[in-house]
Amino acid sequence: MPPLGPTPRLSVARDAGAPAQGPTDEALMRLVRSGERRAFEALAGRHLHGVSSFCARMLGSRASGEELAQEVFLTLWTRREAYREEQRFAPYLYTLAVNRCRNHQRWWRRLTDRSTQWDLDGRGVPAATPLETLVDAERQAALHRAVARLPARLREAVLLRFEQGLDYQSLGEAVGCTEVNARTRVFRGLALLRESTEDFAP
Amino acid sequence: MTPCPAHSEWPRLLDGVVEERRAQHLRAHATGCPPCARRLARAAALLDALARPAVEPDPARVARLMAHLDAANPPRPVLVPRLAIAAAAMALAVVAWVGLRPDPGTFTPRGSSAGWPSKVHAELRVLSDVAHPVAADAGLSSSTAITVWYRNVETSRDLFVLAYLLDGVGEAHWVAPAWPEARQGAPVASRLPRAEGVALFEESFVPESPAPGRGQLVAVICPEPRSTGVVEAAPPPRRGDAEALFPGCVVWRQPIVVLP
Repeated sequence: MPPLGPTPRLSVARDAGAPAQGPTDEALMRLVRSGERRAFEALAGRHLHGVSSFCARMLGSRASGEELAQEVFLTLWTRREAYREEQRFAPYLYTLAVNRCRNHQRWWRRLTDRSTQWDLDGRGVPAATPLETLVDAERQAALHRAVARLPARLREAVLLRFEQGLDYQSLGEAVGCTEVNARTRVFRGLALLRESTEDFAP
Repeated sequence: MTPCPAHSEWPRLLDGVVEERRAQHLRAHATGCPPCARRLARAAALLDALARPAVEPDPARVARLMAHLDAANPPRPVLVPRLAIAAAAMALAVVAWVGLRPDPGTFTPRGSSAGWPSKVHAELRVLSDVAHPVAADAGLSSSTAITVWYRNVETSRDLFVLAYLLDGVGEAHWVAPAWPEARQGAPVASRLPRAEGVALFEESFVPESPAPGRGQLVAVICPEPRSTGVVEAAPPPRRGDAEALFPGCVVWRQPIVVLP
């Protein structure tokens, strides 16, 4: 029997709402409510990248994802007074992102009769050698395609949990379902991904 | 050998949603079952790949967002150029001397039998178009000008003020004494001028690269000129505890958030 090797570990155990240092997202958002632009800029510095990545994977398009993420943050600013002080920031932000993506997908389907546009590849995937980079990039691109084929409700749940690191309570708040349903969506999505990425060897 | 678990259990194990006894069983099974070890490794690879962002970090993205924001909502011109700050402070001080009154109920006027602590007050305020009081947990950016707002109707003795901003790592940024004074020898508290009403220090202060995070504004009035070294020599977590550092002095403190 060969040894099992190092125990695989989940690499996304972070909490999207907990910065390593400095004021919390909620403290910054309270300042944003009162019109403090530097607090808004600080929040964008923390989260614009994550929201861009989430939207890009939801839409299957890096360019559309980045554009939508900008719209999400502009909405966050223009509707800043709608934020309630007791709200947790991460689910609030990703509720805006999820709704914006859903609207965009409805619009896109009406326009093109396609469920998903597509221009994501595996660029930017780091690896040790050029060959590994190529293989890794191909696998990452295959994963992007598999994610894009997931039903939208499952796709957003899987991405919010494993790409953005939201806990299940926050995830449920962001997509508008219970924590239990959020968990169900995540593992249904993973099961479908596993079937469509059978060759996804480590 | 126990029967192999369902494939769906491996990602649940990695996600930490399996209860501990079951998790131990799954890990033990994977150790002795190569096919399940491969399934576990494949699930880990899948979750790792999902965790990789599809869009690379790019500071220009935030800059574009702020440009869009500025185009849609031009910022209010609230920040005063540094060279104009001192002039603005002087003008405000004149206005304060002639136009403002003490807050009723919190201040004992001259002639009271109460001791000197009841005749003085100092706090730090943010200087923009006017000297704004600082709310608890307010966010201060590194370009914020701060000044001392005070009252002093004690006539029988001189009083002295120390005022500082503690940044996110507990470093003290001195407002009073002002930096040029603090560089000379042993910096001590500034003498608090007498003021019938309320007044502002003529000098204002823009902190140099304060560390972001939770901090404090502190103003201390003492009957003798205490040294800034009392604060500097204290461990950073204790520098905000001005009541303990300056017994017998009047202390004003306000928690703030220093913005990145």
